[in-house]
Amino acid sequence: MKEEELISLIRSEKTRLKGYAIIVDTYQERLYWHVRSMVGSHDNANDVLQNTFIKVWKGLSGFRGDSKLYTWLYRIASNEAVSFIQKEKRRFGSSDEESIFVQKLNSDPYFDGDEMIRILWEAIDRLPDKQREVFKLKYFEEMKYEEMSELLGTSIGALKASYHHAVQKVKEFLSK
Amino acid sequence: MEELDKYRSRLKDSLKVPEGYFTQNQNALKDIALQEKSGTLVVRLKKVPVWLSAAAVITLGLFVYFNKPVKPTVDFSLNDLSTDTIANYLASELAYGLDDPLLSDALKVNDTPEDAWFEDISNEEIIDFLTDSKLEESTLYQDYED
Repeated sequence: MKEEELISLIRSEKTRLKGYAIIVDTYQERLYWHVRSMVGSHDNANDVLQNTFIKVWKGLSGFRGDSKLYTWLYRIASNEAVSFIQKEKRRFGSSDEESIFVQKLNSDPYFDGDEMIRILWEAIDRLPDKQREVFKLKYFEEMKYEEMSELLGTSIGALKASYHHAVQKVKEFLSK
Repeated sequence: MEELDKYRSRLKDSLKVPEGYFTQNQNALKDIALQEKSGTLVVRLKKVPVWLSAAAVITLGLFVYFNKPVKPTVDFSLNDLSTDTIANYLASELAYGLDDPLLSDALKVNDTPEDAWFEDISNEEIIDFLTDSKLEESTLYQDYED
């Protein structure tokens, strides 16, 4: 279904539920992986995704279509994940030695990686926020810079620079 | 970059989900809308009885003794929430482009101190109360709006 058609379903109260169901079918997996790569564990990602879709449903009637649907969904999911991480930091206290992400990853029964992969996740997690976001979108989703630019509201040049710096930092961390 | 490319699939594959998770979760996420849709009325009804019941008892007592009714009121303001709570809430909400009524509605529904009281009361108790008190829905909403 084309995005315009989906948005017209959302706009009408009669068809909003159907539109929401299509959004779930289309985007839940993509949003899950985005959230999971931010919060670490499956259980936490599941909780954050639930909260994300509650917000999505509540906000659908106000969605004006100023941005692409996925951009809007992505921002809601990102904010929910950031909010979750902040709460966890307040709850457990932040530690320079081990981030919340690494703590969650280490205790997650649904993490299946060797030591090298664990270190690589840590290297990614230690990147500055913007660089980490750009790195994950490029590295995992292989997203084009044009799409990323719209999603993050950043110029293509700045994104390329962020990605370049991120790759250098990850390599440096791995070589230590 | 090639050095990192070789880890891409291993890195992705290191994060697992329970078997059948996305299929099951699809239904759970769709249920959110159904629950929220039907829950709107429930939330409103749940919000009313606790203070209304207290107010009704007071009103009845006063009516009996002084023969005049007392109108129930709700004293709630943002002062009842901590600055931290409000700041966090707004920080996470405003970026979504939600409009003011939605924000206001969410604050009323989710963040009022009264909600903590209602969690301890089951729907059955609320329905029993409404049945016993023979209150009409229109009266409830009128009181709620007041």
